[in-house]
Amino acid sequence: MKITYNWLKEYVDFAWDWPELVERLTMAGLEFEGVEDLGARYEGVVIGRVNTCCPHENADRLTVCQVDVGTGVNTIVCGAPNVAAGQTVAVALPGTTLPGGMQIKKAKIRGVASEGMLCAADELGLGDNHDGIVVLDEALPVGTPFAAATELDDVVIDFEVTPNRPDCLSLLGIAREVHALTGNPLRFPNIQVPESGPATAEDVQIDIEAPDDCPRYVGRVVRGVEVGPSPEWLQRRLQAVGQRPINNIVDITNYVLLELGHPLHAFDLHALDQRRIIVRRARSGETLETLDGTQCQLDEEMLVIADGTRPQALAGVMGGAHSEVSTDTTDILLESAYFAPSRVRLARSRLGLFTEASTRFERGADWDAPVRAIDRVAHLIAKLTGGAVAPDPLDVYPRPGQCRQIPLCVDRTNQLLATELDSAAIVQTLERLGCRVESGRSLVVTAPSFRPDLTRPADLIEEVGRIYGFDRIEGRQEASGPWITRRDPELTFRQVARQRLLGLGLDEVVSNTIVESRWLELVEAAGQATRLANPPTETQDALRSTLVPSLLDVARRNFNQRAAGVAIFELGKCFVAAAEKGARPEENWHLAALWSGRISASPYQADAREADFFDLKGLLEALVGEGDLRFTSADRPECRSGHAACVSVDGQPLGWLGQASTDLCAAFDLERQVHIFEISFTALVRHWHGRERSFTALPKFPPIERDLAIVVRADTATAELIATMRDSVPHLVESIEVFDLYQGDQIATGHKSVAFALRLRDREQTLQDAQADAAISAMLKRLKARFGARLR
Amino acid sequence: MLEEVRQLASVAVAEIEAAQDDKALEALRVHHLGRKSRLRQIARQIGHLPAAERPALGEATGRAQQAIQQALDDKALALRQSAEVASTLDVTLPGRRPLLGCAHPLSQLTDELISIFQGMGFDVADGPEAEDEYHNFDALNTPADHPARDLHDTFYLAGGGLMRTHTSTVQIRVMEQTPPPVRIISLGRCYRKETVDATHHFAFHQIEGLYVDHGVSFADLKGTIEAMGRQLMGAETQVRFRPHFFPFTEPSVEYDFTCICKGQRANCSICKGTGWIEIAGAGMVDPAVFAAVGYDPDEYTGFAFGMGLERIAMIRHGIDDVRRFLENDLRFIRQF
Repeated sequence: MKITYNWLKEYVDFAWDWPELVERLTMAGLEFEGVEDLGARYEGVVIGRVNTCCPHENADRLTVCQVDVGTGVNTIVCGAPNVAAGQTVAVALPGTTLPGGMQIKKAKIRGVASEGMLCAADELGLGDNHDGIVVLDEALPVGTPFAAATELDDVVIDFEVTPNRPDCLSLLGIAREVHALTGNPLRFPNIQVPESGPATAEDVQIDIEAPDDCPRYVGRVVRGVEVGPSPEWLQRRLQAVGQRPINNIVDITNYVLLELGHPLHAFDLHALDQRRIIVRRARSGETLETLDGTQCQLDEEMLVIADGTRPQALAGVMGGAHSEVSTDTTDILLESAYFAPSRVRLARSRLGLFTEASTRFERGADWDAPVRAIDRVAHLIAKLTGGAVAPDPLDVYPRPGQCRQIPLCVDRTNQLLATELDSAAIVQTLERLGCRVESGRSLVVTAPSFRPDLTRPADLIEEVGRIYGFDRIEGRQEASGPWITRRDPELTFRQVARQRLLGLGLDEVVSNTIVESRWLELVEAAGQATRLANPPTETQDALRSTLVPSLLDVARRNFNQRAAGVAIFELGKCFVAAAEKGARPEENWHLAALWSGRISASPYQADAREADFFDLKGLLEALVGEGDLRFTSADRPECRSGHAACVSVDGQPLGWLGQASTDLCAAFDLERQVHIFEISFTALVRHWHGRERSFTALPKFPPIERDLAIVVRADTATAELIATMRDSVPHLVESIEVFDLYQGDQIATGHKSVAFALRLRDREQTLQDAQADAAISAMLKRLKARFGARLR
Repeated sequence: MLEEVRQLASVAVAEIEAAQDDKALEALRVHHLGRKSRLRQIARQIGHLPAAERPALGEATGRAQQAIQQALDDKALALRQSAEVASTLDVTLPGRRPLLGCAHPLSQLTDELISIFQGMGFDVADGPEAEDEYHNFDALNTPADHPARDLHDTFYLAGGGLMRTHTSTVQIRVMEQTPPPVRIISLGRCYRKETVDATHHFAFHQIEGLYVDHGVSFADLKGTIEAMGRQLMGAETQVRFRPHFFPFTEPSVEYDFTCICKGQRANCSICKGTGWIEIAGAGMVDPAVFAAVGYDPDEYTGFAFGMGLERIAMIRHGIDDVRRFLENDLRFIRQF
């Protein structure tokens, strides 16, 4: 809502300059959007008097003027045909930049030095007129700044008005806020109407067929108007707040809309068939060309203002082109109505027509305002265009509005706001806002018709609080009792997992949950994807069911930026479409990591190779920590064949690990090997949560360490060899580590040599060499039986 | 034999002192203290001597062994020290640096906020991002034709439901499950159908706070927000409350923090010279919200607040473009 500082002052007095006005209103709930100092545009333009005018010796159309500018007399060359001695004019002095961008300098024009310029209207940004210079009132004192002398030194202030406050979409509404803050009296605009001629009903008949959609419709006829441009002050005000002047009738309705906040419309009376107004639902198939030239296809849920045959306006949104007021118009019908918010909202959203009128009606206009507003328009029309206003306006009012009565408890108000206001202060605030208050044991407040947002005690408490000033309420920092926060184990484990992976050298990423469904197709996860009905872009139309494509995309981005290696993880939500229609998708926390490229920050002294399967496997093992973590060779659609594994922990599925397939890498422009794991974070939490953390006595007896190298078929799983060795002598094996793997000359084709470091210990007594030897023999025997292993 | 033992010790010590390197030293150890050394031979014979001679000889061999061992240790140390003097490291060569990952700035802020609010007695609650109309709008006093629904352009799911437009949904879900009092925060992702540019993204993160109990007042809201502001933005941070409108709070406010420029810079890019940075919204829980979850609005009062994480992170780190957060350029992430 744009207002000007001077305009606001017409309705209420205040001693604030504009920055303070903005500050006060901001702290009362109007958010400051911007300001434009209209006066500043005229810096360097002063009032001047043309002393003499002589023709230019070297140019027929130019005049050389001696102009008194207060500080002296300047010689100014002027090209305007209407310049004459004795005129009071606007002089742009050298160094001035005019609103249109023109820069004024001292210059020689056809041999005559000119110090400044006499301005035309368009050069001052006051319309399009370039026929001649602006001739001002003789009474204006020479030498004063132009803006101050002509009252153009105004400031336009833009406020954002929250949707609950339709009343503040008007000058009077904002003035009422100032009144509430200062107590200075409100000045209401003049609504005296001189009436003459036959009664309104002689000229027009008004019927409301849809009283729920249009509880009230007021019509007034003005005969013999002279349609033409509005007076300059009116045009200027409309322009200042961003509206385009059209003609005096339309401008006056717009002016009153801004002034009182009530939308109005003017019809050309003779364009209305049978001179009838029927407020009704549109009929299917009806159309309307609105004032902006749009052809609207109407439907039965839209409310229209029709004449005897067809729609002439879209109720509360926009008038129709057919009955538009034009320069040929002589008699007009003014409309001032109250339309139901939901009906207006529906029509404007279906047709996409946002107008000043629809904004106010759909937020809730004042059902008590139509007569005042139409009288204000009639007053201005009579005053400014000289038409004859017909007596006895028609006020069709089938559903009278009712003011709400709201009880308000003073103690409750003070308790909620943490204030100590007495009843009188609360009453005063509410009355200044337009409420009527009956004081008793508790207050009974009647909310004004222009405040549809005030319906409950809480709404009134807010009014009291904001006018008192939320800033004056002291913050409190004491708890009313001991509070015990419940630590959600999943939250704690999320932090543990992230800290571990960060410590292991992976960077954390947070990627978009709305992804391209093509991405999900690439990993064969599109089947369970949840689609958006109105996606942000054509391709980004699904909720991710896996983190994998997102990580690949991050890898692509970083390799494009010449990263040597990418080691990242994300812990985030994934979505699986519900089987049941209409049910919410299932949301699960996933944890995924991707490792590709060089594994170390510095190639010097460090391992400068590329990350491989076992780098990422080791990382997953380190993350999961203790527990029976098992990797089983598996085929996965997103992985290179033979380079992927299913992962389980303590017999429960956890996720998978593998090398991304060449196709998948190519889809993300990745040239290097990429290894990924993705696990269910819920499964990991279950594992961590269930883990016992009880103490095992430290061993008292020394261990015996032995190395054992065996030769087996190349396709033998090492995990099974280790399991077999453990099972052979379960009570003696403390640990078995692989320390060498060899395939080559010294080993038969299709075989491999695996070397293990064993640590054996008897927890009850010192283990003897002979026992260790026997244990190794037992292992070898089993290995031979199961895998045909032989000692190397 | 006593004399021989003394002799052995002094010879051994002299030889050890003359040793040139670790290898010679090891040979001397074997020679003088090894199983086959003369000293050990003598020690083994002690048992066969008359009882009167045993203590003296035992003591002498013990002392000799000690002296030799001491000489070996001293010499070993001396050799190590002289070896160290001989080499000089180029200490400017890079270390073998294990990689340390960097947490995403939004996660860092999330962790910090959780810690701040756990310290003030708030639990952390989680809620779904794919929501229904009821929890996102209706239960929050925003019925279908409410003007406030214009504030959010919402993503709808093809199968029904929507992506939550704010974390306020979690207020409803928690209150539905928990009788008062409640004191929770919730952090997570929200979605609004915005055109993506330097200051807008269709996906963003919020923190939501809710405190409902007997006698909770506006002063408690202010105190909590002030405490958060000071812990997050510095001890001198001031908070300003401006009236505003949200359907689910009454009174509603927006709150501002004092700018890090302290209002001293007229051209400050963060506060535009006003000295205040608009942070987010808050208010006292609307009675209609209590009604929706079955709390008695006459018995309980409460406050709620929200805040966008991207905005805070951008202000704190001077980040110029909200798109950076989801782009995941590691050169960006590693800065924080």
